[in-house]
This record gives sequence, C-alpha cells and structure tokens, in this order.
Amino acid sequence: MNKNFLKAFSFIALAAMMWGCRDKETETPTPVDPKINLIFSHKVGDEEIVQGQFYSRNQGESFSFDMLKYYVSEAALVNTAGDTLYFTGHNLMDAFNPSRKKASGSFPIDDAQMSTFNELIFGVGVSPAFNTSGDQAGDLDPAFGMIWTWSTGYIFMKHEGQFIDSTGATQPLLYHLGTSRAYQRYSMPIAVTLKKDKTYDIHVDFNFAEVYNSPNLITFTDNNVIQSSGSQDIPWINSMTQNMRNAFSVSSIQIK
Amino acid sequence: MKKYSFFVLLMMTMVVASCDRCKDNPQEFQPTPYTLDIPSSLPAMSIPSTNPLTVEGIALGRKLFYDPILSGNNTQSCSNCHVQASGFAEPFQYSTGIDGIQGTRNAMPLINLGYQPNFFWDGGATDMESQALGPVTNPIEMHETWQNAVIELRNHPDYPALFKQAFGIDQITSQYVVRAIAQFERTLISGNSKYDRYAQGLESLTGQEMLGMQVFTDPMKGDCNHCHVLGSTFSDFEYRNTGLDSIPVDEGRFSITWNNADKGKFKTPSLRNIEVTGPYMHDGRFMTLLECVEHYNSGFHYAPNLDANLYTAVKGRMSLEEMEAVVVFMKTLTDHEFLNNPKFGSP
Repeated sequence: MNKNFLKAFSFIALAAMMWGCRDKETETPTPVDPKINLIFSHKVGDEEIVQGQFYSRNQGESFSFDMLKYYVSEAALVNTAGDTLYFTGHNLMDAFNPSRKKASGSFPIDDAQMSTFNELIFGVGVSPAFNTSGDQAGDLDPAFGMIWTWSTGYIFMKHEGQFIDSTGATQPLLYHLGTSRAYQRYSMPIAVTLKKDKTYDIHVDFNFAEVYNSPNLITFTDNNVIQSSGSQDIPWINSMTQNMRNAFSVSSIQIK
Repeated sequence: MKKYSFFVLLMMTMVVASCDRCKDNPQEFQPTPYTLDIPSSLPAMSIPSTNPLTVEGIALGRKLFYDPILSGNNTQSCSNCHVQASGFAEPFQYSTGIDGIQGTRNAMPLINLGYQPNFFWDGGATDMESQALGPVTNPIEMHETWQNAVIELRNHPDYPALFKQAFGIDQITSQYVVRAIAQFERTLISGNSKYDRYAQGLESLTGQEMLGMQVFTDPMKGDCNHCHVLGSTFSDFEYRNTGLDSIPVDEGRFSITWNNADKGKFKTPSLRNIEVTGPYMHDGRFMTLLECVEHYNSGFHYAPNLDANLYTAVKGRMSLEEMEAVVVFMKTLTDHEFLNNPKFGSP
C-alpha cells in the first residue's frame, strides 16, 4: 500500500513540476501593439547638419551648431475618425547623440478601431503640467542640464553654436528657449495604417532654415544670446514658436 | 522504504522550487514612516504625497545637508551658508561660493519651510525639492553639476545603501537627493519661543515686550502685523515692495513673473528667530533690527509698487522708545530649543 502510494505521489509530483517548468514561449504568442519611432533629422534646407559646420542664410549670418538639444513631448497620431492616440511622454533629443534622435512609444489598436492615421502631432518643450517642478526623473532629470533652477522651469530647446556677422567676424550664438508660454504642439500631415506586430519608423525633418526665417526673420546680429530670461525675450519666443509651425515634416515611413 | 521517502522529498522540493510565488525577494523596502512633532503654536503642515517623511529619508537628507560632496571641489555643504545657530541663515551679508565669489542676496533662514508655497526671495523655486537643485549648480555658490554629484554619490561607500533604505532605489538620481534634503528641511520646525509660551499662558512678557507687541499690532504705529502676522508663522509669505529703493537694482519677483507690478517685490520673511537671522532684507543691508524698524518708520522710499500699507503710513509715527520696544518684542521669538537642537546639527 505504501509503495504504491509513494509511486503515485512521486509520479504526480514529477508531473506537476514539469507542468510548472513548461516552456511558455512555445505557446501561441498574443499579437504585440505596433511600435512607433519618431526619428528626427536636423536640417538647414536639404542638408543634414554636421556639428561645427556653417550653413548659409540668404541674409548672410551663416551659422553653425555645436549643440542642439530639445524636448519632444506627448506625441500623438490622429486617425481618420478623429481620435487622438498618444504614444510618448517627454523625450530629450540630442542632434549629435545617436541614441537620442528617436522618440518611441506604442498604443493599443484593435480591429474595430480606425487604425489609419492622417495627422501627427507633438510638442516641443515640456508641457505646462510637467513644467512646474524639477523633482522629476527619466528624461526630465535635472542632471541633463535642461532646467533653470533659479526660476523652476525646463529649457525646451538649446541651440549653441556660432555665426558670422556682417564684418566677417565669428560670434557666439546661444539660444535657450523656454517658459511655459513657449510650449507649442506642432501638427503635420501623415498617411499611415498601423498593424499589430509591426514597427513604424516615422522620419521627421526639423528644418532650421524655417526656424530662423519664416514667417518671422530672426537675425542673429545684436540678438545672439537669448535665454528666455525676461519680458524682452517674448518677441523672440513668439517668433520661434510661430516659425516652428513650418519647420517639421514627415519625410518617410519605414515599416519593419 | 527509505529510498522512496527520499525520492518524494526531492520531488516535493522541486515542485516548491518551481512555484513562482515562492521566489519573491524576502528583503522588502520598508522605510519607517515619520510623523512631524508640530507644536500647538503652529498649524498642520502639508507633506507632498510624492515625498512622504520617513526616518531613513530624514536621516539621509540631514547627512546630505552637511556633506560637502555636493559642491564642485567638495569643500562646501548647505550648512556652510545655512548655519543652525543663525536659524539656518547666513550670519554675513552675502555668502561666498567655492570660487570665492559673493552673491547679491542674503541666504534665507530655513525655519518652518513647509508652510511656504514657494522659495527664494523672489519665489522662483516652485517647491522645496526644486529649490535644492539651485545652490548645487549655481556657479557662484556650490558650483557643481548634478551629473557629477550623482556620480560621486553612487561611488560613495555609504550612500547607495542609504538611498536604498530610504527610497528603495538601486541607482541614485538627483530627484532622490533633493527629496531627501527636503524631508530633512521639513523637520526644521520652530514654535517654542518665549512668545509662544506667553501665548499659551505659560510665561509672562516684560513691560517693554508688552509695549513692543502693542506697537507691532497697532495699525497706526508699527502695523507690522499686517504682513508679519502675529502668531503661527509670523508671515503671510506674500511678495511686497517695502520701499527699500525708489528704483530697485534687484528687481525681485519681477524676474520670475515678468509682471511690471512685481518690480522690487520680495518675500515677507518669517520673524521667528529674527534675533539671530540677520543681516536683514534680501540684500542684508541692515545689520540690526532697529535699522529695520527705523526703515518702516521713516526710511522707506516711495516707489511705483510700494506696498499700500506703507504708502499710507505716516513717516515718523513711532518714537524711539516705541521702536526699541518692537525690537525687544521681536527677540521674544527666539527659540533656543530649535537653535540648539542636536537633531538638526551635523550627524
């Protein structure tokens, strides 16, 4: 009696153990939500910017980039039914750091929902709800140096470089854009249908010919160090945010 | 029989070992909650839900407050400019940073900070945690970067374990450094001065102190009560232009709000421990309390944003005897228990 009981028990225990150790990955996987990557290319006109290189402007004042950092926030796609679906939080982008040229995310789609999208929207900067404290982590960690501590608020974009003035002399160019009045969300057309188990690389051009030219011409001479530090900077802030409406476009989409 | 027993035991052990629930980490993050001991003279203090007080967090914040590791050359800590015996203020007009450069504003006392809605003389820091970010990176103060400070803390023999115990984190970030410091700062509570004991009927004031209190609250005399509200925090923490200059060099709150109406406005500080927190005003221009009272009596300048209470005040309305009495009254706000409390000193 004891021997049979023990044999049965051993068999059951062994079976239970093997059930616990079964390879779960060989079961049919559930479909994964589409992964969306916003990949930024930073340009002056058609040229992708190279660190330290000068780019010309019609008005003279050719200029360069030693540093270009900015926040891309709360990116969303709008579908043909008008639903806005968000796929990122706040991402710190760095034009000269290969690991910081992409803002990624995902959202769930189902078969019943319209998964064809015709508009891409994202903010440049830190949205007002997040721009009221430096007690934050991830890409909003103050250790990135993208925050003002004397007046709590994030630096939305830093462009530091040089420009050539009318006498041919090289001058510093230091533009720090910020304060909540500078937060804008930018919209651009797109045509993409999202499917599960796919990854979408959405390539976006950020064109600095537009940022400094149109519709408000921003001249660097006598205006080359601006740190959003006072009311005298409001016209520049307004010009920048207005010009950026024309500065973004989707150049291509790769599906993997 | 013995062979089978062993085999069964082995099987049971393996079943148990493959059970997920049994793999939980036995070492849980269990900080000790801490409730502030607030005297009856002060109101309840709101604590942000993102940074609850714990014994471990407060101890860590205290250690950081006194640690020069947060400065660029590891020579200066918060405590160098915020001195306990001075009510955690700076006993000199200006503080000197690690590069030997002086600032333009007097370092503020750290007393009852949890009642204040924002920080710095101009309210530029929106919360206590955000305020702590500033002095560490200011080139004329501690002149460090948060990136460097965090690396040094991560490589320190003691800090990683202390942050783990206080916050349950495996990697120190600036966020948790300022949270720890803020927790310690919230414990710096002062509410046991001679005035408090008088208000509770435990002690009496001298005749001169009583006269001073009378002048303090009389709207036709000191009218101090209007802004430095008697009792509790001894301030409403509003921003005001008190006529220190007809044209302010330091524009105060204006540099934060960009609102012209805020030019020359500075925070109304608390008068608790004012006897030891001088020099006085945002730029430490007054060395004595009598100079402050004299300023409000007749020295103030007419400026576009001058506070309405001063605009209508009659210059010279207080006698010397009355002004000296106000000074003596203000000295009843000194809380020696707070100033000497070893719990707030260097660990």
